[in-house]
Amino acid sequence: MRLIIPLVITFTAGMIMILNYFVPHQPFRLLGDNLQEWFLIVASGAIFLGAANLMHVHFRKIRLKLKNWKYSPVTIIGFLVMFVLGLIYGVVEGKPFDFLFLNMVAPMGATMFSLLAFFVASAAFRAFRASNWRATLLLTSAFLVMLGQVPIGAMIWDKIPLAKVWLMSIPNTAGQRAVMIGAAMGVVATSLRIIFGIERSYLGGAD
Amino acid sequence: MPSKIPFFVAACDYTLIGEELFAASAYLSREPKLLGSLKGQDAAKLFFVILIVIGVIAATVGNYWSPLKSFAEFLRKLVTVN
Amino acid sequence: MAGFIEKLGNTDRRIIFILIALSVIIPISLNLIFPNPVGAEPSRDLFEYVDALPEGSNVLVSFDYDPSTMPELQPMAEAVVAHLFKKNANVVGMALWPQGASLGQDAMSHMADSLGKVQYEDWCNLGYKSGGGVMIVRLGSSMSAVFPTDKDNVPWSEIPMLRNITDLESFSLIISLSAGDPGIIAWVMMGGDRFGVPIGGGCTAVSAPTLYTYLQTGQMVGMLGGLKGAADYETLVGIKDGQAVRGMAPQSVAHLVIMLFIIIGNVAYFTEKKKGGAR
Repeated sequence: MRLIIPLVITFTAGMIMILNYFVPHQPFRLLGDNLQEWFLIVASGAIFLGAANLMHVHFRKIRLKLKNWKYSPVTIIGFLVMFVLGLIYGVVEGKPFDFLFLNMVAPMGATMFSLLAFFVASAAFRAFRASNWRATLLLTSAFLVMLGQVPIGAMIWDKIPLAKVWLMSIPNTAGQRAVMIGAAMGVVATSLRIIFGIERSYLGGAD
Repeated sequence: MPSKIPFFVAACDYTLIGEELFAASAYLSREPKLLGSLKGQDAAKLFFVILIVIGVIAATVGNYWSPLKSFAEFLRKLVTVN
Repeated sequence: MAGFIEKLGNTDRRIIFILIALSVIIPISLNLIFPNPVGAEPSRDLFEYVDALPEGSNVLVSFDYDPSTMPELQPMAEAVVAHLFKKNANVVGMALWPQGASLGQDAMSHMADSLGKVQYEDWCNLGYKSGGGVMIVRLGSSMSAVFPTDKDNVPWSEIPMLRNITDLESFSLIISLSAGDPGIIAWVMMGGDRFGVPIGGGCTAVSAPTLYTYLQTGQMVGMLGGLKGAADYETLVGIKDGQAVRGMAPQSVAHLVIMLFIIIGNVAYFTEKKKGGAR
């Protein structure tokens, strides 16, 4: 029974959504619309779950003095400040929440991602070796795209941006499309397995 | 993620791309479920490869012979959703 | 000589970090600006499509990114919104990512103030709702069911510009500025293919190669790829002193420095290989 009910729910919901795609008329339209709204509600509820879990993890870290526990109070204070300010003053433009977001959260987030540039440069220096013809081809196309992507490429030779557009539109598109089709096959196979109850790992080991 | 593949290929010795991940898990575990899914995926891929090859020939030769052009158009409409 | 080249090949990565930092700091401090010619790129395709929209068209702009990708996508957002305002389009903003709503509000209100556009008559921001692709499918049947109010809790029925908008098919174009998933791919799959609305996009340079597949099939009308795409759009729209155009100089110098390092690394590798072979 504990196993049957989730499988029946999954199968019913999956089949309704598939039929909703191919049959736009009632009752599938109404059923599909309702199921989509329920999904949006559950997805919103998941945000609360995430926030509660965040608090639980960090309080536990402080209580048990785990590794790097000194950073947890910073996380908790940051979360509570934004939460309280948003509740009291609202999140409209010009309020403290919006000010803190645009002047603290946004620059800090941008900075963290910018660190990637340094590591990419270091990785490129170490990893890009023309050891065989495939690596040489990769290197040449990397150079062409890097030059074509900035105005300096056009200044050096005006055909470089054209070469870059050709490279991105023809060989790159072919490769990306192949990967996409393969990945889509995998997604279809996995989804069908879940809908028909063959794959039960999402039930949490109730196999 | 398809956008990260070049980094992995450049930096790592061996990379599993796209559906090779599903194939690797089926190969290692030998579970009938996974092997069966893999076989199904391969069959679907073969079907699409044949469709693509026929479509490419039809579209290319269709530039010089109009019946093939309408066939290529029919194939294109077959896989277009909207 | 061979020893020197070998040493170069084993350069401490901190030196690489410092040189990359300098290659960005120096052009920015010197206010270096390179001319940015725009060729037959996907960014030109998007510009021409938006330019051909009739006045008063409804356009949905989805700000699907967060602060980490803001340096690439915020200039894009401002350029796209500025162009839409210049074409007198009705701009409806929304977001699939939580922080995108505030970043979109910042871009739209900034451009609206400089171009004299009024909120709720020329533009509005519906805000963020969770759900990704499923939300897009629901928007296809009813927009007001997903967004009963806008970001500032103003009811849908009280916003003048939303009176003739019922679902996704009410829009002439959907532009998604995305940094990952959910983003352009979800819009193309659920919005473009399912409901037939033209989709345009802007994305980080890392995601751009994947999206060329949609350009080729016509599932996307145009695309801005990375900071170059943003700079192209700013040049085409005629934005003076755009952030993206100013970013082209440090990006160019940084690319040249990285290419130099790759060449040095390969020279060191071949020298070592030759030495190892000669032994």
